[in-house]
Amino acid sequence: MKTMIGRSGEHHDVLVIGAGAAGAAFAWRLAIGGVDVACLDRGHWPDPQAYATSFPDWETRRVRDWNPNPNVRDRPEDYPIADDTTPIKPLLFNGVGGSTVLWSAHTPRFHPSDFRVRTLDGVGVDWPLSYWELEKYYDVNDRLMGVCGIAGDPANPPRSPRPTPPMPLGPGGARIAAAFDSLGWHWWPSDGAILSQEYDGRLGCNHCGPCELGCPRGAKASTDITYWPKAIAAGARMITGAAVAEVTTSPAGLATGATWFDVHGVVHHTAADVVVIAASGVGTPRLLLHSGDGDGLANSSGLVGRNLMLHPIAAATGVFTEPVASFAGNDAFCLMSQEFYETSPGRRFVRGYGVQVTRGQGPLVTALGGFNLDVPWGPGHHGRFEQLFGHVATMAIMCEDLPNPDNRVELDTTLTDRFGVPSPRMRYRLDANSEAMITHGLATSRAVLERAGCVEVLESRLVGQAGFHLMGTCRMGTDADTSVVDHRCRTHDVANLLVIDASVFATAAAVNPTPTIQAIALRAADLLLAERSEVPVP
Amino acid sequence: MNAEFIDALADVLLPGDENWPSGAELDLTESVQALSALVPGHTQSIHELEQALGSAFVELPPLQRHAALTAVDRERPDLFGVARLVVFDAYYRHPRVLLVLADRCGYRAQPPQPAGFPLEDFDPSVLATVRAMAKRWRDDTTAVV
Repeated sequence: MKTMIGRSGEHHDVLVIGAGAAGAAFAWRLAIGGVDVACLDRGHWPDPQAYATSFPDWETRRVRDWNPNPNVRDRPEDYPIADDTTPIKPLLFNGVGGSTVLWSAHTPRFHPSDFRVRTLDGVGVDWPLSYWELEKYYDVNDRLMGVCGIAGDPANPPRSPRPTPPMPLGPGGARIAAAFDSLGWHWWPSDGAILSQEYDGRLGCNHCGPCELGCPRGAKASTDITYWPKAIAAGARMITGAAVAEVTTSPAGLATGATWFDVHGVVHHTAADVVVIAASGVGTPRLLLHSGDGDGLANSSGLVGRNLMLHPIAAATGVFTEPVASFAGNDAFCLMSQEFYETSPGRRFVRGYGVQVTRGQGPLVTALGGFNLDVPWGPGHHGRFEQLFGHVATMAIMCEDLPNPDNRVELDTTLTDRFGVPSPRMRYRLDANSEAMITHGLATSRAVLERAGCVEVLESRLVGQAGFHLMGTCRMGTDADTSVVDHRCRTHDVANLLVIDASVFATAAAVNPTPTIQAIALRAADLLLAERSEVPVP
Repeated sequence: MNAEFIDALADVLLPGDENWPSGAELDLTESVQALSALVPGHTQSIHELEQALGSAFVELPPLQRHAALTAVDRERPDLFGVARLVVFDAYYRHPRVLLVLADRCGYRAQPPQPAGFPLEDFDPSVLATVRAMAKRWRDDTTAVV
């Protein structure tokens, strides 16, 4: 795209592309540091009163305009993603808050060992930073987002007191916790960015269930209600309905800003001294590959888009004979187990997996078979429905997938968004290590569920609609030949261009990535503030 | 939308029992029509399903209706999926079904918000066993042997 129809005429010290988890944290830190920062997002401010959970048809809104899969949701601000070459489908949201609007808000941290995968286990790569360098930023983020939980977990380093207590286990979670105890296996109430009590002017959770449809109470953190109001109060500027098509560069090879389409299809340019991309593990490589000349911007390594990691998830659903009110409570977590998280030489896989214990769904989704159920239509429907509805708990087995350059995001040759910008294509295959983890995880989960008293266990080896964690496509490292950005998130090739989302993950760990994304973004912002005078500007 | 067809379809999908009403007795046509109109292509899918099953479908005895719908489920899962979604949606939002959900499942059939559901607060005493475990995370300088 080379033809400009219009110009916004704005210039900012720093331009952030993407208003989600990372962009919000980064912009907040810069704004309170006195920097002139603006953000472009292709979506809009969400209206909490429009969230599906307040309406009688809340369950079917999930399959329409509140679907986490942009290919199904198909709002004007969404871009299609070619996903017939991956068994795990992409889930993300475009708008202020990004995917935190529709996330389930489970917020475990990486382990120290997750940053030393090559050194400790001989696979993947090491990160160019450590857990300990991120620790204080995890704490800052926990306070800003507002989390629930309790310190003292023996499977994790000591951490600061949590702002609010853990979410209730519920009857099903309590049975499963007791089963873990009985087996001598680790479990701990989950850290989550959901308030169990009032905090920072926000209400506590009232256990309505489907967090992933948006939280009209504001108990679940999303950055449109956490970071962004504070960032804007400190002077940050938000420009919505701005679908960025290209990062522009000067003849000297420095980033000069971004060109973007407004909702009417008019092209604008916003100039900046520093450009920061936070458009997700799919959106960021798409933008870089569509910028620059030839092979894309900041891509001398050839690794932009490579090493896509998605956290394969298997599921084991246990059925209790007694009702456990599984429709009540935040549906995606109550506790987690990291019994099989760290590498153990006796297993048939390296690295490990975590187990996130989830609850159940509403009546319609249950009747349709839910995420992992077996409910017939016709004779037998009603009896089976009564067996399952309100009687289940699911163990979601989240595997660490290892970086593989063949798993990647590239530009599709035919599919485009409504402005004609090429869509991303995801190419992804599970490896044997992940398959071995899934087999192990299903067996151990069955053991827990049976010990908890479940009379039936339903298994799914791979949950397809689970590609929320889009990681690794602009890897962080020390060597410009084998990575895209350095430990400060600055691209090796373009000195004033940063990438700050999960694209920079060198490895994936086996936990939900968002707190780590935000800690990395906060650290990158701090380092930019400290070293600002050293960054060349166009 | 043909009410006779929707009744027949709902009767096969949700035949009812001593506790649950059948889909046919709830007159779901109007609701199915409205729900189908919300998603582009859904109304057309229902029409195509009706054509695929043929006009004789409504006259068939229950077992043969079930067999006919099973065949469509196998051969045109796209059409069947849409029909099942909208008929189930209409059924599980019908006031009579909501009463059964409350009576038999203890489910307060309202939107999740604003009321939410009551749950007992987390009890930290349940952590006694796991708190006694030894440290289970690796230092980042500990190599695996």
